[in-house]
Amino acid sequence: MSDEEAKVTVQEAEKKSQPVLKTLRPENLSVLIQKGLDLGYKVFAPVKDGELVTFEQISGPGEVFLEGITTRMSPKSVFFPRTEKVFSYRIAKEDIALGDQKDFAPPTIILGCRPCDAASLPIMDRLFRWDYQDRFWNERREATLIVSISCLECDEACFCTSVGLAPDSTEGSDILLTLVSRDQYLAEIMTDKGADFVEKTGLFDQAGADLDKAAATKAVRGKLGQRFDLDKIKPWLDENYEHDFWKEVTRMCIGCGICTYVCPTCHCFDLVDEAHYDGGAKNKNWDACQFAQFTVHASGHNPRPDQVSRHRQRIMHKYKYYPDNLGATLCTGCGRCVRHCPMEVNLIRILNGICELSAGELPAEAPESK
Amino acid sequence: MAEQMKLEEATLSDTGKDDLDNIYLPHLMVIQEIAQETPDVKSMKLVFKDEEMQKNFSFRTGQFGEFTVFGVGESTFNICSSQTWRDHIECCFRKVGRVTKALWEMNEGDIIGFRGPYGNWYPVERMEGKNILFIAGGIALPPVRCMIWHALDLRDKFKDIAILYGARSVADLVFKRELEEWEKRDDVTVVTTVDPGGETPDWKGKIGFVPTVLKEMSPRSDNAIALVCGPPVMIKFTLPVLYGLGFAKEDIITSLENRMKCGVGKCGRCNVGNVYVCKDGPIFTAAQVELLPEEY
Amino acid sequence: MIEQIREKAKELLTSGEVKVVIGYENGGMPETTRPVFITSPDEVERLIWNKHCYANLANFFVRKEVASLGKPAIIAKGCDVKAITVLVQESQIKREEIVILGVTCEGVGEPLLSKCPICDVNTPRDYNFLFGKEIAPKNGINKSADVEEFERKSPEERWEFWEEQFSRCIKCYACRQVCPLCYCEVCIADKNQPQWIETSSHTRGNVHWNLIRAWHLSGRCIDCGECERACPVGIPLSLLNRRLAKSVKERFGYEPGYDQEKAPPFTDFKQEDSQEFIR
Repeated sequence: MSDEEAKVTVQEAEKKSQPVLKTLRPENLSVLIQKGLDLGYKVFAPVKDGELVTFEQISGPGEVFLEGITTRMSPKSVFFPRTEKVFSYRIAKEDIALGDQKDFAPPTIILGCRPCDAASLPIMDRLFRWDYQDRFWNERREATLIVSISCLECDEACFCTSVGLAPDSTEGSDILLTLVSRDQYLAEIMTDKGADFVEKTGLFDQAGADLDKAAATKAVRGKLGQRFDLDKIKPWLDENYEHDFWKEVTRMCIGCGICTYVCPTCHCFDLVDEAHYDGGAKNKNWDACQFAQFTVHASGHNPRPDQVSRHRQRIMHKYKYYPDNLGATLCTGCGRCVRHCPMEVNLIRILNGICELSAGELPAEAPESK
Repeated sequence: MAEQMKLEEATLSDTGKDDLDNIYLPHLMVIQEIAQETPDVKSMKLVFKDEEMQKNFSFRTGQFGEFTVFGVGESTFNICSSQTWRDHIECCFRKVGRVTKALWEMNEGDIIGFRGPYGNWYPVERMEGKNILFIAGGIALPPVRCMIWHALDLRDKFKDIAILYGARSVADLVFKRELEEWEKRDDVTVVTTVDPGGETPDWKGKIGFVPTVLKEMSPRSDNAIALVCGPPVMIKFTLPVLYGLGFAKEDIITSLENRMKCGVGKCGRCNVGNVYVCKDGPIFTAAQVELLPEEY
Repeated sequence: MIEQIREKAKELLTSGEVKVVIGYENGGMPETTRPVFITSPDEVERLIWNKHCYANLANFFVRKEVASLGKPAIIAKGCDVKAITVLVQESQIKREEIVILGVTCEGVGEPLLSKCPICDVNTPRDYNFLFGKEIAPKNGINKSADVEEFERKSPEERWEFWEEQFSRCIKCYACRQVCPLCYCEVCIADKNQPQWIETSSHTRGNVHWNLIRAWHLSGRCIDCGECERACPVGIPLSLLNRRLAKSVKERFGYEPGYDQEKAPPFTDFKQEDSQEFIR
């Protein structure tokens, strides 16, 4: 499969050449959710339970919680559950019978996801559609409609603008809603899938030409600024697999998997057998490069024997290997790893450190003419 | 979430045939024959349970598979038979981890799962018309053995064939009967060696480490390709000897191992730098390996 | 008081008495701090002390990335010192090979973490140097009030509660990694011959893991609350830990981390130990 083919993703294949612009009244968002449920979709949306906001399957619009920046866990689990049976088997006499998985991709809506989370999906499509096709991811992707909402707020951990995205990016969304005034969402309908749904609900109005998404998200863009210079990262990583920097910046990393598990683009998994007396199943479980066991050979030899090498792997994978192999940065700047690290390892700090090193080590570039 | 723990009834279906869209679903294979190679190494002949599947199955010498012991787990082994054999495949393993320990306990007639073939293969076209030097250490003979048989089956396509195989002790040599068979042939040179102290009173082969014996053998490097597999320490000391003999890095071929799960480039654990052993490998030239970080 | 800490850190590093000072520096996010490893006297200005110094730095003694730096001094709150005491008792570190820079503490977090109102070690019980004004231990604190309240529920309600809590577990093992007393070289969760704990993050595998983690810490957990703080899905692990601590205290009159000389109950046998479970 050529690189070009690898880059064709679900969204890109279905993408409309020009997004269709419509509007939705904020009070109709609940009606929209109910319509989705009535039309037979499984609907996942942010739900608040105590301090914790995560994507859950909902049964009514009242459960949805749309305040806050990002949810604790990303919506990737809708496509890539933390534990999923990929086949079952049964021992029958001297024989073994295999059972394939069926009906795992019902029509689904993810509502209220942030542009950074939506953008993670076409990035991961590149992997799951690369060469061997992972039907568990792919079929769910095809069956799922993504309705995202642009961010009007951010926190210090957010850095979408530093990885080429924005608080109102449309990447990965079928429909992106941006609150352009108190009584109007601008709806950018990006795909045929989105247009079909809009049609079915009958809740959207024609948009006037005066609606300005950029004005609505200007303040938050300003607040986000540029936290680091992405262009400097990969060239430095290309040259610096070995560098004392890694040891210095990762010494406080305790090797828990939080950063990978809350990440919308981390996708490493394990395949494990679970048996009972006359049968069992193969489960595809989330796994993490931060765990010592991740790469250990049966002989006991471990090619990544310390936390330094494991932490470096995570950054290399996101900012070098994935771009090398699949043509995209494996990070959308959602900031979850920064927000939830118990030791405040802070990816932004590390990437900034790389930018500083890169400025010190590379020949100074000619100033850009603007 | 609770519903996830219920193990649904497996549908009793035929194996594999129409399930090809599920890349994690194995084919069923029957263990046809088991040979104990050493106190902790066994080799197995495997045939697909589905005769059609066996008829249509093809792979390239050097590729690997994911072998399932149902209820225990999956393990990655090189397919140690040659692509020229169409009626079965073979694998060889050391009893060391959870899966291999379970596989060790299995009997002829038992069923295991197989996914594959995966990965790249030996650059056979480049090797044709050349002198081939095979070098293997210990349990790493199987990934070399598949190519040895490939070359022997298509003997006319290759020039001189030499095999250097070393193990810690006589007991640790695998495929002993085949070594004897090859030794009897006059169209292949076979040198076997064991580490000092590993010999038995009736040992007729060499005594010494592979790099030392290789130096003694002093094979010619012109129009030659060397295929080297073995423990990292053997590789480390063998490469300089090959370079000294005049082998170019591009003409030294090896097979890398790293822990794998999916075998198809998705699960994210077998990479060495940006190279995925399961997709870009497992076969690399010494020139390629030299560019990789030491992460294997 | 941070000035005195920095001064002491500088002195210890300059004299070569310690090779590294394990402390806190400002984090990149508001109201956060980050563990820092100061190896040069010129860098002591990075050290800070405030009510966001959550991490129990005793965690780092057993990590080779830190141990390789040489003899450490550590900034430790009263609760952190309890962990150090257990580590010494369990022969993971030698007391004379570390320097404790104890800090008095009136609680961390805004609002205070749940461990703080029931803290009776505001002044650490062991230290080489103490910083901050001594705070007398509060008397008559009920450390298991939340457990008692929870135990008023029926067994069915309690099980339902935990099942729901554990169902969220994603098996990131942050609770283990962040725990200063989870130092096993190979955790039972990582052993697969046999597979003691299912690795799948379904309820059964999750209950397995969470219960075994708690059991392995019974009679050892010093309630630093790091597991609960780290848990990304908000499982109230301290409630579980305190429940086990309550049993250990009731049965053996023992609280870990208070007295280095007193033998931990699970390494010690006494005739008068309650033995009704054997019947």
